[in-house]
Amino acid sequence: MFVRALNQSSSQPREVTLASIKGIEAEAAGTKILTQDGAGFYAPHPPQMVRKALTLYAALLSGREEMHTPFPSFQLSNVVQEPQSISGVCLDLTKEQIEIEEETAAVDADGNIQLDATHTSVRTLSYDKDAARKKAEAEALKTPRIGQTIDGKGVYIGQWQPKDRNGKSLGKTFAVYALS
Amino acid sequence: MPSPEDLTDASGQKLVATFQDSAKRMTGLRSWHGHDGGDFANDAALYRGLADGSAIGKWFIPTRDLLVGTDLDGNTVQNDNLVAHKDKLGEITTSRERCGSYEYPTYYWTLSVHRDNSILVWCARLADGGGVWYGRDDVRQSCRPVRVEVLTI
Repeated sequence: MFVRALNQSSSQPREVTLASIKGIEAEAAGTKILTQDGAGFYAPHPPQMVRKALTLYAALLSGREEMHTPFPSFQLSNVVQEPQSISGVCLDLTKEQIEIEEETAAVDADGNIQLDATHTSVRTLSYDKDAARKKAEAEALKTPRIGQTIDGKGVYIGQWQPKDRNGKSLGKTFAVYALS
Repeated sequence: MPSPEDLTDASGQKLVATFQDSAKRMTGLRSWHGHDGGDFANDAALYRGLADGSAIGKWFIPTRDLLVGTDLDGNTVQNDNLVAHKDKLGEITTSRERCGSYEYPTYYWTLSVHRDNSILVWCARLADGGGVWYGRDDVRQSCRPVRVEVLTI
């Protein structure tokens, strides 16, 4: 694995906003994010990142761009695997449980995923709009966006993984609330 | 000096107090905006409470990293903090007009105690994050309580 951006030479992390996302595919080790400008980004991530991506995409599909906002953007390291092929899985949001479909995307000699019209990896699968919306809303409730006021809780400030006075992590992640 | 989002006294007025009195008031909070206050004399007590779960859900004076994003040594460790998101916090105190000599309501207490002098507690302006170590009984300042819940992703 090496850091590389499709259609770009930059190896710097790039912020991918909701508006720029065309589709998302995921596999255990990472998520492929396809953007409107034709670029693709392969992002390694922990499992919760997959859920964030799913939430975002579900909201996008359901046409409610204003409510998926727990994750309005995320930082990605642009990672492309070694040339030959990249095995991925597609997410079908029509089911309660995510349905996985194997797919292989071609990669050119330079290691770029081929995303042209003849081999597009964008999968706009049929989906249950209500189910996608409900799923996205449920996820949004679990993780509010910063500045969002939650009844009975306060205004959400963000996540906190406290460390003690010696810099040792408590090994816990909290949601922080204040008053507004 | 309205700032109803800051810690208030028993009559509901914004409290400008020493650290000791602020901590005592916090401990006495019952169902304040729906939640009780925690009994934490310093950051070490809070960490113990977070580790055993007793602090979760209760109001407490924020630690330095929660207030301004830096640890005891000044290293940036917490991007999401009260100063960083001050525009989401409603009204904050930015003036000390008509205040007495030992009243600095633009400064907000933290629970973070100095490494070498346990009398000193970090405090900072919510408006711009500028901070200083103050004696816990030396001055009267503001407090913006926070509380935490276990994050479920």
